Formats: sequence, structure tokens, C-alpha cells
Amino acid sequence: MRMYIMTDLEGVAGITQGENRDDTGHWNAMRRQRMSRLLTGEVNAATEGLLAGGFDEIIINDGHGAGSTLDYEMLDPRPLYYHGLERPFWLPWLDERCDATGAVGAHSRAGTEGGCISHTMSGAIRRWTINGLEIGECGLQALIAGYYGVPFVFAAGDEWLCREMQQLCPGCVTVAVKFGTSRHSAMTYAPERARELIREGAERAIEAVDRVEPLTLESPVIWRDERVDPCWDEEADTADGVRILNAHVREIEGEDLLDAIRKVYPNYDYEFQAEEWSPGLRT
Amino acid sequence: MKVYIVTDLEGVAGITQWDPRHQGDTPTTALVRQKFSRLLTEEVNAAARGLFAGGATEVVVNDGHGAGETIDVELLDPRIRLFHGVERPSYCTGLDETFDAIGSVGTHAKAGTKHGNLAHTMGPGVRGYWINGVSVGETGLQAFLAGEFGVPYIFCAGDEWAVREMQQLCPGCVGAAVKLGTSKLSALTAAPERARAIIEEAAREAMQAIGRVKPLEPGSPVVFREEHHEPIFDVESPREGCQILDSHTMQIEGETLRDVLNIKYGYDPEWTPVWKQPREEV
Repeated sequence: MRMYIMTDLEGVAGITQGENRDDTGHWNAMRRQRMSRLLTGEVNAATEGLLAGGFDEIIINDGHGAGSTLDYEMLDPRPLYYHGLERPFWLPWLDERCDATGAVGAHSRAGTEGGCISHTMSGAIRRWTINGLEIGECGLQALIAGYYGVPFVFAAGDEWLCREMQQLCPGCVTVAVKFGTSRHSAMTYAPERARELIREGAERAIEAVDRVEPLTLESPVIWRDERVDPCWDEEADTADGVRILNAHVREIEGEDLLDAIRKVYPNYDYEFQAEEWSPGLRT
Repeated sequence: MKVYIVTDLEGVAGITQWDPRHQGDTPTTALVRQKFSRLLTEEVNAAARGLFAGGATEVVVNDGHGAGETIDVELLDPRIRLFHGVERPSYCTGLDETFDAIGSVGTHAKAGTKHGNLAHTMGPGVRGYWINGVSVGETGLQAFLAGEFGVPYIFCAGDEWAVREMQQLCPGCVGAAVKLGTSKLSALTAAPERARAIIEEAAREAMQAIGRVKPLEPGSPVVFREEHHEPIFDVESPREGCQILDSHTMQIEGETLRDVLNIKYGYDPEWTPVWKQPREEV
């Protein structure tokens, strides 16, 4: 049983401020190291629980924007970890070879008032809907997984995100490690307790594999991309399937989700094949 | 038994200087801030150990120092639930009538306390706060807010001067005096390890004060007065809900202290925490 876990930073217990990668000062360096340890503690707890529950293969995508946010010196040795920058795709290896997917450190989507550091991808996006379904990052992950017939079964993060994913993927196991009270404040469990809760929840995630329907879409797929600031030129020529509705909003139409993603993110390498691989002795 | 603890930094044993967070980001300030965080967090943990040993079943800690996240979460006792961060939605978020008691750790004396170590009320410019004529500091204000919910203030860990201040305001509350302020920037202090032992014992003892200490009720209406050293208020253009008595003095009246604080800080009175909002059925 293969589980694909996406990690992020803003939904980790003990974190109320987004990572600042521009500030090169001493205090910020210390904070960033602490954030990495807090995240890694939660990821290791999820690994513990997932393996105890019966998954025997785990791929962890170090998904936060910095590309390598996990503290690699602390990692549980059993999963494989995908990390780094200039990636060929957002979630490589999340495909029909996986039995389930989930998220750790997950935050609520842009526009969630009260959600701790709620956002979608970057601060630029106000709202995403796909075929009318309002989604954030975890929602998009669930849709990509669903495209391959894989259910989204597990999320650990802010209570607001847990509610969001319960709505999108009823029956998934959610673990609220903190309760956002405003953009930059939260009622949080102590990290050690948060890890216990994650381990317990992750152990139950396998039960949700048969219970949760993969999140799928009808064709055509219409992705409505609303931006905070005016950024689309209504006069400009657009690629096939892309319509500028006004300076803030565009709609992307695709035959299916992957076709739409190709149009939203044209710079990924769609020829890339995520090959089956394991580390080991080669003779 | 649910206990709400508000923390601050200036009343922690081993600290006699202001948080250097506005003094530039240097190796020295970064190390000092980390040390202060550890000193505070271990006092918080000691209080939690005592409270749980004394019968508490739930301890919620409000990381109350101005930076918003001064407690080192990596060291935090796993039983504690922590409220932290900035741009908060309300004053003493989460504090309500479901708590059995409130206390404070790292408590400093109010502004104007002669020998109080790092004595102040909120910012450096404040000469004093009064609630219905009673002089209070930050912790007195919190005790009044809790009192409005029927929650008694039972426990004060901090500077001897803060302990005396709170015992006068809330007779019967248990103090853990971990240092004796001798001036704004000096104190005779217990070593941190000894301070923690004192705090743990006092916190356990404080659980016995529930039922004995009366909630500090402000009554209704509430008149809150704030005086500043400098003439900062513009008599001609008061903020909404505030009366400017003179250029040094501002006054807010409300039905409740909660109302007054919502006006003072511009908080939304309708705000409800997510844990009190029912989950939509799927």
C-alpha cells in the first residue's frame, strides 16, 4: 500500500507566521530552523502512524515553497522524500501507483477568514474554483489524486483546513493540531501532543481508503482563477482554452484536469516520467 | 478543572532587561531572546505541572508578551494548549465562563511601582489604568475580565511587587515570588531552577484557592480610564467610543469590561472561535 504525503509549513502546530525567506538575520535563521524541526516532527509522526496502520510504502513531497523545508537530519529513514526547486511537476509520483494521498502541515485556502495563514499557492490568488468546486492547495492535490483514481484520506493541520477537506472528501481522516483564531494567531496543541494526535490519526487513515471516493471531475474542466490584484490584460491574445473575463479573473478550460493544469502551469515538463525507483545497491 | 494562564516576560526569574526584539537583529539579541524564551517556557511548564498535580484537567496558556510568540513551543509541556500569535481577534482569547480559575506567570508590577523590576502597564507611555476607580496593571485588568465571567484569579508567579499587587486586589490568591525588584532594571532573583520549584509548588497550592478566592467583579457599567505621561490624546477628535478627559487621559464606558476592551482594541464583538462553531454536516 503506497501513500503519497504532501507537506506544507503553515498548518504546523506552533507556527503562526509564514516563513520569511528574504530576511537573512540571525533571529529569522533561528526561527526557520525551528519551523523545520516542528514540521519534521509532525511528518515523522505521520510516518509512524501510517506504517503502523498498514501502509508499507510512503513518498513524502516536501511541498513548502522553499523546496527543502524538512530537516533532513531528523527524518524517519523509511519513506522516500521528494524535494528541491525547479521541479518538473508539482506532485510527481502522485499517480495510479498510489493507494492514497494526504497532507501534513496543511493550511486553509485563500479567503478563509480566521484560518491561520490561509492562502492558495501565493498571496496573489484570491479564489480558485474548478467546475464550481472551491479549492485550495489540498483540494487541488485531492483532484490530481482523484484524476488517477486515488482518494485523499488524511490531513493534519489547522481546524479550518480540516473542515475544508471534510467537505471536499467526506470520510477522510483529519487531525486538527491548531485552531486558527485570526490570520496570525491560533490556539494550538503543544508540538509533542500534536505529534501524538497525528500519529493516532495517521494510523486510522488506511481505513478511509475504501470509504473515501476519489475526487473526480466531469469533462470539460473549467478552472476559474481569481487574482487579488488586476493582472490579466483583457486585450491580449490568450492561449487556446484560456479566457480573460476581466483584469482579476480568467477561466481555463481543459478536456480534463491534466489538460487544464497544462494551461495554468505551462512551464512544467509534461514529458517527465516519474519512474519506479528505490535506493539500493546496484550490482 | 480548567485553568487559564496569561504569561508575560518581565516577571520571569533571571530577566532584568527589556525584550531586545526592537534593538536590531544581531547575534546577541537573537541569543538573548532565545534564552528569555527558554526561561519563560520552563516557568510555564512548572506552573502547568503544579496545576495538574493540584487537580487541573485542562491548562490553556495565553502567550501574552507583546511579541505574540515568546514561549518556545518546542519545550512546551504536551498537556498545555497554547494561544499565541499576533493580530489577535480578542483580548484574552478563549477566556470564558467555562474556566474555573485564571493565573499568571512572568508577572511584572504595574506602571509606577517604585521598585518593581521592569514595572509597566502595556506600553512605556502609560501612567496607569483604572477600572471603576480601582488602579490596575495588565494582570489586574485580566483578573477583572475573568471576574466578569465569574472566574477567580488564584495564582501569580513573578516579581514580589506584582505578587503583592495581585494579593491586594484578589485576597487569597497564591503568589510565587521568584525575584525582588530593586529598581526598574535590577532585582534580587532566585536561580531559575529554584524559581521553577517555587512556581510548581505554588501552582499546586493555588488549585486549593478555587472556591476561596472571590472572582474580581468589575460590576456594570464599567468605566475604564487610561492616563499617559505624555499629552498624546487629541481632545478635538476622540476615537469612537472614547472620551478624552484631557490630553493625558482617555476614558471608555461600557456595559461590560469585555465591551470596553473590544472598543479599546477595535475587536469585533461578534467574533466566535472556530471551536465553538459547529462543523457543517457533510
